[in-house]
Amino acid sequence: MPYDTDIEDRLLALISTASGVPQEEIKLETRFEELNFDSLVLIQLSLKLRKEFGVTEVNDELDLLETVDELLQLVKKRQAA
Amino acid sequence: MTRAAIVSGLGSYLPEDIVTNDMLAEVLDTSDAWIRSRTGVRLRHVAGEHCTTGDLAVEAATRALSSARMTRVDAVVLATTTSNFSCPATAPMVAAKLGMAGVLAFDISAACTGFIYGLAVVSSLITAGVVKSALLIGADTFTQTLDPNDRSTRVLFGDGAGAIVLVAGDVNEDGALLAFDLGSDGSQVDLLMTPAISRTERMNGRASNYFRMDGKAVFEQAVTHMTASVQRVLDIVSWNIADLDHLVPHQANTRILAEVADQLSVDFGRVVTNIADVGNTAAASIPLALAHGVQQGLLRVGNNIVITGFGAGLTWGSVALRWPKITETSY
Repeated sequence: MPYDTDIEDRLLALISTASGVPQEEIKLETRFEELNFDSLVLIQLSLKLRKEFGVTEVNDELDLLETVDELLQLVKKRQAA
Repeated sequence: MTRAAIVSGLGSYLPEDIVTNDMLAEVLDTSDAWIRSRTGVRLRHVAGEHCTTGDLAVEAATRALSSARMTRVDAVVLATTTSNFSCPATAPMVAAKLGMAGVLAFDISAACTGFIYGLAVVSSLITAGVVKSALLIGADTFTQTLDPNDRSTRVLFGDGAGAIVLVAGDVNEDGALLAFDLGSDGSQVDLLMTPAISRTERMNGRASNYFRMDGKAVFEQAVTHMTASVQRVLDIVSWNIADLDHLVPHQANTRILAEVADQLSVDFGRVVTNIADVGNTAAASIPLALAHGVQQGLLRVGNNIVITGFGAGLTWGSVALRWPKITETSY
């Protein structure tokens, strides 16, 4: 669906901006540990999620996510809620 | 004519002693690369054992008076959380050292937002007709409050002072302070604080009164409140983001500043930043950033400027102004 693709593209761009990792190196199956985030990136990510998708209060969940796809599913779930 | 406070002089001062990241890496578990990537700080100036906040304030104030081509003002207001004494305030002593014993003088305690609170207070004194001119100084020797073993704070903070002269004028003049947004949230006092302890506790070594900071929570709160505050002050003056020539934020941490810019959709090139060379200097941060902006030719006459800050309290605030024709007198 075009809508989902749009969310996916925006999310990958957002992760790239927050982490400094080039967007072409970030795939849905990419594990967060491969991206070598430092402690501040997750906070930057949560702030960008709020601005870009209106998704709030995700700090605790972000700590538990393992892959980019899991984050995508979380954003979709929160947006649908 | 609508009376307003006009910025008419700017001065700054940094103590001579410099602490580089490599020097900190010799005594703490850290490195130049770690510090730069987490904070953006390259070096910081540190006041020596015998250099007080009041000393730094006098130096910056002298330069601001020179910049304004004035020798006296009606009021001296000092924003600081590292006052020379628990009592009294440091501002009267600073005023006396500047040859102005007798003028209205007091300190403002709003941590890193102190200079912005000070702009609102001095502007109010001027527009109410209580005074016609004032010195507003932001000065802190914050490194003296830090735990020598706490790498998260020691890498971040530096010492310094900055000052501006404000005079009564018309709201249409360049340099006029146009609008303010100020706020606080004391329910989050624990995020940034220096506890008070009794002399007995200190002598027994059972408590410390080093400054402590919850870095991650502060990051989130700083971005959230500075972003919202800037938006509110823009709304008051009816400026769009495109109307804003420069954002001058409290130099909290480069990544906080980048995130605020991103949240507001402001190009980072329009954000004035000097944290690399001074660190986070608490109440001195904003006037030092303004001085840097003038030295670099970024802040030009007639520019639409928003200054924003966030600090312990929690406190936050923003001010909108049009930049005046002034020559900064630097350290």
